[in-house]
Amino acid sequence: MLSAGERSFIEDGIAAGIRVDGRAPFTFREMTLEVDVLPQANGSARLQLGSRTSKTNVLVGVKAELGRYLSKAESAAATVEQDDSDERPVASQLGGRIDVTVQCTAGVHISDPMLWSHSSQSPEAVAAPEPAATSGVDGAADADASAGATQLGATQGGGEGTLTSEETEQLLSQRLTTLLNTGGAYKSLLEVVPAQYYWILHVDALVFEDNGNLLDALALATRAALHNTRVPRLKSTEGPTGEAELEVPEGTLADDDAQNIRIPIEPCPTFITFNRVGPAASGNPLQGFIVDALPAEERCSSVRLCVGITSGGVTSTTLKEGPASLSGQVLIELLDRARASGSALLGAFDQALARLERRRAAAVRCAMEGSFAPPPEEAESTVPEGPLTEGEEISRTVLPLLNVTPAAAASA
Amino acid sequence: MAQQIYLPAQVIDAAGQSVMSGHGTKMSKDGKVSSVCAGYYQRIGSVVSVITLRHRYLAAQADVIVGRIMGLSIEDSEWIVDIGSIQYARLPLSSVMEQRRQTKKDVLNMRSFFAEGDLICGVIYRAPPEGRATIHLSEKLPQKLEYGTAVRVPCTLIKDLAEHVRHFDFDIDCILGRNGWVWIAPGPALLVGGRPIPESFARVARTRALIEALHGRSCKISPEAVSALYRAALPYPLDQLATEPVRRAIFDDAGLHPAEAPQPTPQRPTGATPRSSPSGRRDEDQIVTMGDEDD
Repeated sequence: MLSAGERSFIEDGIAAGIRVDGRAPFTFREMTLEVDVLPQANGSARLQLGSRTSKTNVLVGVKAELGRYLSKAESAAATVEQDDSDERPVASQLGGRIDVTVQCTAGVHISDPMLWSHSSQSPEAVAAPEPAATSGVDGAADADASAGATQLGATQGGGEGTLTSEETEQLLSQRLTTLLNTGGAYKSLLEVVPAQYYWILHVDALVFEDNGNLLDALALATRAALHNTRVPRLKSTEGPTGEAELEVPEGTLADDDAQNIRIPIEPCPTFITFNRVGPAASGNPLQGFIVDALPAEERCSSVRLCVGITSGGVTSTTLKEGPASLSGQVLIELLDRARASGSALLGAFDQALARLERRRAAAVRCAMEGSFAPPPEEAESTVPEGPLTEGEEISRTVLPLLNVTPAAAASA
Repeated sequence: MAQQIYLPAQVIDAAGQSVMSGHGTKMSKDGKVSSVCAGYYQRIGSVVSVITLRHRYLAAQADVIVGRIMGLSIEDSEWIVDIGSIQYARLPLSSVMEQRRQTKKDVLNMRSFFAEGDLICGVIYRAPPEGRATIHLSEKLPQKLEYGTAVRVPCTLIKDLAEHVRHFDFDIDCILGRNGWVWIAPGPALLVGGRPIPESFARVARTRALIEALHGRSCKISPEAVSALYRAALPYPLDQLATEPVRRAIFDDAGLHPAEAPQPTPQRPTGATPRSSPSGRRDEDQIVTMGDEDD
């Protein structure tokens, strides 16, 4: 909830080029990226967007499952029998794909009004009860207690959503799945034996905290998790029926990259979300647009464009949300600039991923050689350790504030 | 003075006196009071409480707070205000209409005073231990907070001050609400002819970032600390104030370390109404052991 005065302050600030936290309109917050956080997953990553006290915090794990196309005999059959044994892979016609499921932990308050449940329930039913009903004095520390007034009369804007609902989770899951599978790039990349076996990557994303820009954070964390994903290199032999049979080669070590295949992320797009705060200006089509919005800014946003963009500058998906409209000229301009901004963002992000990968490889080498020497220091020096600092570690890196102003990015 | 810590299920030794159980405690059938959480012991009068390190704001009389209107109740002619406490507080219409008697028309037009979403600054007039606190507006304080930004920090980081409304010499007005809600607005010199000059956004952003930096280090948010940090933060670029290296540099420059953040000397708040209700605090005669105000 925001008062009119706060809203005009935010809008005027963005018009003057200074946001409430001091950033320029096209600057991302500091990101802390960690990989290899879930040892039992094929790949995992954790992304925190923002400072320690107010951040968007997501964890993504990737599990690989083997799928196979239905054989001619099976597709001819009227029904496909469900095979309960674990040995035979899931059979379907869908092919290699990435399947994203987003979940929010209890107590997460989704900050983005456009993601709140728009169910047809009455505001009283949707709004959460007062804090007294749920937690005590020693319960949640300064959890946001905002809720539509229940028995107190109609609220402005008809019932603000509060705690997350399944619909919000499904919405996010659906958007990310569409993002990653559009264009079919992964369908061929995930094939193990052409027309027979393929990988299905199950991506499970967990939202711990939401302080703005959740969709972008989820997309970037998924990208990092996919980069971290390793699936075993399977050996296929011709079986008696002419179909390929797969086996895991002898002596596969979990950490030995010779036996693993890594998932390429060149075709992996990420979302970059542009929110417009304040009125449109005829002179400058990008007037009022910001990236990486804070919760207060998301509440002031009248229209939003989420652009799915790859590091090669290919736009894969776009999503427009919000009550206001985007004129054709603004839309074209925005898509153009999104490519430049997206390339800059992904360039820096991929460098951070490469950094983590180098450290990991060095650590694995040390472990395999039996030496306990720490991995070599990177040339671009890490944040100096201090008593209160979340410094860099082998598996964690910090991306500095990233300015992706379209003009600057285009000239870079 | 050693602060006594109690663990969950630990029985509180009342030394034979009869005590009432306050926050964080419960009384068993045989009259023994035991703690239900892990925290510091606090006794005011005969009410014994165990206060955890992080907790919601507990309303106390004469506290200056910043709150957000969540709704209104025409039947009771009052607004319902979120102050970050266990329950919402109420702001009666009569506190706004001091000069004249309220008529039915005024009641129906309540929204013309404060609507949902508005931020107000008020004083806790009454804080019953069970039930909603009552807020009154004061003529000495700003009432409706219009142009600026709010940031929320834990209420434990804001201690009782003589003046909660502060005007800094870099022309920023701040209200450090006792409930942890801090209001930051450009001062009069930055609003030229009613319109803010571009510099005002930078100053508000800097102040906000520094208050969040104090929060990040669990330092007390006092006007002295904010002033010191502001002066130290001027050489650094505005958008870097949220990053760790810059924060550390600023804290070093300002000479602030977590245990040594400058503390104001404890004073009684001015204009306090006499407190006789059990939830009143700061009556030093009755306090046996307090929280951490003796830094």
